[in-house]
Formats: sequence, structure tokens, C-alpha cells
Amino acid sequence: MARHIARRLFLLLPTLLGLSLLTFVLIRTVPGDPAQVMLGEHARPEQVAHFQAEMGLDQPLPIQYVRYLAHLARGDWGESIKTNLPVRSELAQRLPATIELGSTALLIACVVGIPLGVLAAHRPRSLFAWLATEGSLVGVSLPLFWLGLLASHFFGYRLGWLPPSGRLGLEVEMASISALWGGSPLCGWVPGVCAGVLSDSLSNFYLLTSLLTGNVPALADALAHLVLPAITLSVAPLAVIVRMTRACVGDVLAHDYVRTARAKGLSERATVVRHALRSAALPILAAISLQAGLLFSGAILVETIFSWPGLGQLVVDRVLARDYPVVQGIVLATGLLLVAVNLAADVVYALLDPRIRYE
Amino acid sequence: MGSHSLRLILTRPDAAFLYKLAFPAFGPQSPANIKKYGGGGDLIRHPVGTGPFRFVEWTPDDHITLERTPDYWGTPPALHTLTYRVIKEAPARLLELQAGTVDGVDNLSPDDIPLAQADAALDVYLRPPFNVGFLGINRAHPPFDDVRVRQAVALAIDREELVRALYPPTAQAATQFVPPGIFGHTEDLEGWAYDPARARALLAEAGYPDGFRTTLWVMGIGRPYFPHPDRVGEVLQADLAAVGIQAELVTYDWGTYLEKMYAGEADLFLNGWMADFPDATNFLDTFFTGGDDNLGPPFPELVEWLQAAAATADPAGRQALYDRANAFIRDHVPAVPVVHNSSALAFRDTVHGLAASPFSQELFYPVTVDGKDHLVFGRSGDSVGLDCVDESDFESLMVCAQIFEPLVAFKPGTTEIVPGLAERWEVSDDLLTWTFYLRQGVKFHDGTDLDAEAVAFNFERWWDPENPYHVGHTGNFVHWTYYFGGFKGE
Repeated sequence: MARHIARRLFLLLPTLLGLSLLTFVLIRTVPGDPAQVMLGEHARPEQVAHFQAEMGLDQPLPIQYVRYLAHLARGDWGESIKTNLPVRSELAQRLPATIELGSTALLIACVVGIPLGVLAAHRPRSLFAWLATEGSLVGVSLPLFWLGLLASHFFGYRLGWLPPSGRLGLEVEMASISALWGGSPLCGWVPGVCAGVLSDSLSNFYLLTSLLTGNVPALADALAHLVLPAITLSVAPLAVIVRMTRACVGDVLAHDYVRTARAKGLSERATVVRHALRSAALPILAAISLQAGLLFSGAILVETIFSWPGLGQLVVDRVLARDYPVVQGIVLATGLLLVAVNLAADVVYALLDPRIRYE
Repeated sequence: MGSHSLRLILTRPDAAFLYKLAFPAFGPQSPANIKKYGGGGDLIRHPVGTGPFRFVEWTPDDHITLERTPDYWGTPPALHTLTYRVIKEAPARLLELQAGTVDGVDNLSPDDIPLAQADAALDVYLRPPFNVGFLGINRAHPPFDDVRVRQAVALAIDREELVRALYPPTAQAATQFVPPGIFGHTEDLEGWAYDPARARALLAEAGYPDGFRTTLWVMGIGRPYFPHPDRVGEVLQADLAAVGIQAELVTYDWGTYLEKMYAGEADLFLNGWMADFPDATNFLDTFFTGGDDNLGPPFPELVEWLQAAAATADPAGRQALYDRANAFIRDHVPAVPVVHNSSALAFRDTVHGLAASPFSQELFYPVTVDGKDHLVFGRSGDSVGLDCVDESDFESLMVCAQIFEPLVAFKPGTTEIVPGLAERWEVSDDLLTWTFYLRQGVKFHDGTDLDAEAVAFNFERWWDPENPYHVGHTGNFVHWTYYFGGFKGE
């Protein structure tokens, strides 16, 4: 297992290199010029040229790419053209918002989707099974944009139960997470953990920070803001998980050993959960890890509708501004994240199925 | 000059000088603060001006918070806190307003204006239509070098119908580039009437009895003058097809569109302009004195009149020159003005004292809200940076307008020049020497004094590329070059 993980990590390097090259070339192939966007309609041609030279955008592409890689190798992700902030600190601000939204959505999809799928598989010819299957078809087909606005309209405005958009109420104070260990020797040992990029990025996990610092009003407010976007984002993966679970568990339930389990007097619940679901777990898990990747593309829409200041909004904004370094940073960061998710899925496979051995 | 008076000497006369100075980006910033950040870097996130509100905090793509300036020199604002929230989608902004989670929103979608007007809890404010949306024609691309073809294009377009179908009731079909209400607009100028039969006759006369094929460029995002450029493009395409001109629609995102269009790649294209200051120079000089390749070569006589008008002090003489220029543009059709549109804001009915700004820079110091002293304003995008003389986006300017104060200002909601940091001023007969007398006792938000030296420090920073603090956000200070024609030494 350890060797497998080591090999996967080693393969990560060429993967990321390929990813960075592809992004680098693609974003620059798109017509448009960051200098023109930044300087606006009133800029003189020589001002545009000056800006391009300043940003190194007038250099041949291979030179720009090699320079980019050299900086990356030193841990320097570059600076945003639009805000002149380091790309790393822009990502540190936004990535936690998207991870919080995405993982909550995935959690909802699993917690609701797997039981629904199992129940539907257990009574395949019932009205419930029909509803679950057809309902999930509707779920996959619903345009996120429309669904989000509808949810915001009813729950945010008509009923007024939840905030229509945003991530945190303006009046809510969110203390930095470093309040927990501020002043301890940890500050000296880990750079940035008490004040800086690391502390900022951890503090931007609002649920985690408010929970750990015991900030109940902030926790309640952050949760209230999270509900609508997370449910909206969970609909598509939920639908896929329901269908996948129903199909896989249904297959297993038809096997002889399930009949044997029932025959030896095992309760129906134990038969389904311990025998059928466990055997069907691998393909379901595979489906879930694939959904994690798709969640990010969904997050782009959901974050825009719900004014959620995450990576999805950032990528739209910066593609339009042709903020090359930030777009490259986002693609690289999400690439890393997806590799991590897949690696975690591999590990869980091996834990679930003792027959799996990575050599 | 004394500690509170300042003389600005221009190299050429500029009749619109005061209007330009009133632009909020030209409000002085505390020299101590500029020095602290070396004139750039994080300065864009730490603005220190003299205005009625001072900067508190900024969470990117989420909100910017300002608060009332303690010991403000003028009447202190009723609001204690003013927050700009980013809500990108127009329907989401209206929802938040209806839910009461924000007190006002910018840029209502045209479709939402009737909806908001019907809501008893909301007030809709329409900005004066200080913009123009037009159909540009590239004369460098045949057959548009023939004036008869260009006139045929103008005759083929049913502007009245287009505006009626696609715009809110307050929009107007345009007869000329300069919108009504702006100096230089010709009151009784008749635009081209819709006449497809005459258009076909002109095309036949020009040698195109069966019309021809061309491209019509349409920007990929809505602009205040063309909130739905795709729909405008389709209507124009149909109008042109009716006289035999088969136009293929071409579109790009905004940045690419500007770049390619200004490089002269388009044949027919949608473009427009929003007033930066209420003077014809802002509309006509921008497009007709040369510099860009999108409309073809400039007309020498037009350039001459426009330059003369900009340097004329006498209003009647200036107006006569602009009347001549407006008629010339109509007859030679370098472009067809289509629409003057008004953009709309909406506030809850608990908000009072707001005046919609013709320049989309509403001032919040006179505003009150029933029962509370904070106001949240939802808008479609975040500011890029708050060193506004080196920013080019409206979202930055609307925040800077609360923090910074120029020497002279616009009375809220009007184009009337009123005293700003200068309580009075004098100008020489040749329009070259301007003397400003600053208010006494004005302080920057960091407690330092505003005096002539501080104002001069800012002017030096803006216009001298050799100045050590001429750093800004991109270092290009585009507003300066655009308004005043160049830097020191040029």
C-alpha cells in the first residue's frame, strides 16, 4: 500500500506538469489581453505595451513557461495581474470556501443518496423505487442555475427561512483560528500558522473555525448560509449516487449468497447492509469519487448564484480578466485536490475489499 | 502660492477642465499614506482620503465596508456604516433587495425594472441616459467607403421600434452621439428616419442592387447602453437583411472584442460610450479625432472643428461648432447612433435622500435609512483597487467617490459643478491658468492636514512618470492620460 501511494505521488509530478502546460497554453490561446482588460477602453497603445512588458507578457511563450516553472519549483505561484496579490494567498482565501461547500454537498448526497438507493433496490417494483429512480433522473437533468434561483426565491425571500445568498452575515464576527494556539511555541515552529497565509486559509473554513473557537453565533450563521447552496450543489451527485446504489445493490441482492444469508435466518436489515451494501460499496465509492471532480464545475454556477466567494467565482472572474497566473493556480490547485481525492478513494478500496492489493 | 491656494497652469486651453477635475479619481490622497506604501503595492487596499466616509475593511468578492469619517469638515453623513456587497447575478440582487437583506441594488436588469416598480416596498431610480449605444461602420472596409452605403445602413434601421421592443420606457432612440442634457447636444437635429425603400435605392445607386454580405460584431456581455447586445444584434441583422445586406453575427468576450474592434478588424460593430463628464468632448473627441482604427480614417474638417470647440471658452461659439459637427456626423455616417439608455437602481422605500448619478457614482453622504444608521448596497462586481486614478472599472470609482473628494465636485445627481475641497476658484481669460483656494481645517482620514502642498504632491504623483510614487496599481494612470492628454514632458 505504502509503495502504491508512493508511486502515485511520484506519477503526480508528470501529471501536474502536463496540466500546467495545458493550462498555460490554453488560457493564452484564448483571444484577449490582460493589459487591455486591466487598463480599460481609455488606455493608449503604448500604455498597453508597457503593461505587457512589465508583466513579462511580451516574452516568447516557451520563455514565459520556463520562467513560470522555475518560480513554481521554488514554491512561488506568481502574482495576480488583477490584484497584484500572491496567487497563493488568493487561493488560500478562496479554496476553503469551495471545499466547505463541496464537501458539505457531497456529504448530503451520500447521506441521503445511499439509503435511498438501498431502499429502492430492496423493493425494486415499489412506488418508492419508481419515485427514487425517476426523481433522480429529474435531479440530473435540472439546470443548477434555475434550481438555485428558485431555492433562493422560496427559502430566502418568500419564506424568509434562510439567507438568500452570501457566506456570512455582515454583522457576524469571525475570529481567526490562530486564537486557539496564538502565543504558543507553535507560532515559532510553523511559519504562517499564527498570522499569515496558513492562518488565513484555516480561518476561512468558517464551520471549522467557529466550531473550534466556540463561536456559536458565527457557526449558526455560517450553517444557515451554507444550507441552500450546498443542497443545490448536492442535487446532481445525489441523483447519480441513488441510481448507482440502486443498480449495484440490486445486482448483489440477486446473488445466491444473499439467499443463503436470508435462509440461515439473518435479519433483512443485516442481509442488505452487511452483505449486499458492503459488496456493492466499491462501484458506489468509484461513482462518489468521480462526483467529487464534477462538483467543482457545479460550484462555478452555484457560487455565482449564491454570491459564495469561492474558487468557482474566482475562476470566472479571472478568466474574463485574463489573469493568467491566478487561472493557472486554480487549475493546479484543483488538480492537486482531485488527485488527493482519488488517492484517498484508492486507500478506501483496499480497506473495504481485502482482495485488492496494490503492487 | 499660500498654504491653501494652488495654481494649475495648462499647456492648452480646456473648456471642460472643471468637469474633468470633478472626476472622483482626482481626489487627493494622504501623502503620508502614499509614502507608507511606496505609492503602490498594498496602497490599492488602504485608501486614505478626506471624504465623508473612510475605509474600514474589504473581503474580496464579498464586501467592502466604509464608515462615517469622525470630525468630517462638512455636514457629517447620517449613515454610520456603508457596505458594498457583491451579488453578481441581477435576479439574485433583486431577491436580496426584496428579502430586505440589502437596502439598495445597482444595475437592475431591464426585465426587472417593471417588477421592481410594481413592488410597493421598493423605489426605482433611473439614471439620466448619459450614454450612447451605436452601430459603428468601418469605412476602411469596402463597400463602407461609399457614403451612400453607410446612409443606406442608417436608413435600414428602425431605431424607434428597436428601443421600444428591447429597452425600458425611459430609453430614447438616438439622433446623435451627444446625449440630451450634455453640453454640445444639438436640440433640433433630425436623425435618419426609418426608410428601407430609400435604403435599397441608395444601395442600387452605389452598385449593390442585390445587397452584399458583411459581418456584424456584437459584444459578448451586456453594457449599460446595450444590456442585451445579442438581441440588438439580431434585430439589426433582420433590419439590414430586409434591404439586402446579409450580416453574419460575430461575437467575443468583452476584452477580446475591444482589442479586435479597436484594431479595425470589424466591419459593422456595436459599441458605445458612457459619460465620464458632461461635455461633448467626452463623446465626440473620443471617437472622431483619430487614434483608433475601428471607424476608418478621421475626417480632417471634423477633427478641426472638434479641436477648436475644445479650446473655445464662449459657450455659444462652442455650441455652434458642435452643431456643425453633429450634422456632419449624421450626413457622413461614420456610425449610426442607436440609443441613449438609462440604467436603474432600486432601493427599499426606507431609504431617503439618494440622487441617481448620471455617472453611476451615487454619493451616499446625504442618504438616510428609516430606523437604522447602516446601509448595504448590492452591486454586480467587486472593485479592482482603490487607488482610483490608476483603476479603470466603475466598481472602484463608486467606492472612491465616497472616500476621496476632488477640488470641485458635482452636486449629487446633477452635472452642476459645486465647490469640493476648493471653496472657490478663478480662471484666466485664455482658460490656461486656474487658481484654487482650498478649505481651511480639512484633514485626511489619517489625521494629517490637507493643504496646497498635499494637493500638489498628488498632482505630481499622477502626472510625472519620474515621480518615485508614480507606481499605482498598474503604473499607467490611464485616467490622467485620457483626461489631460499626456504626462509631464510629453
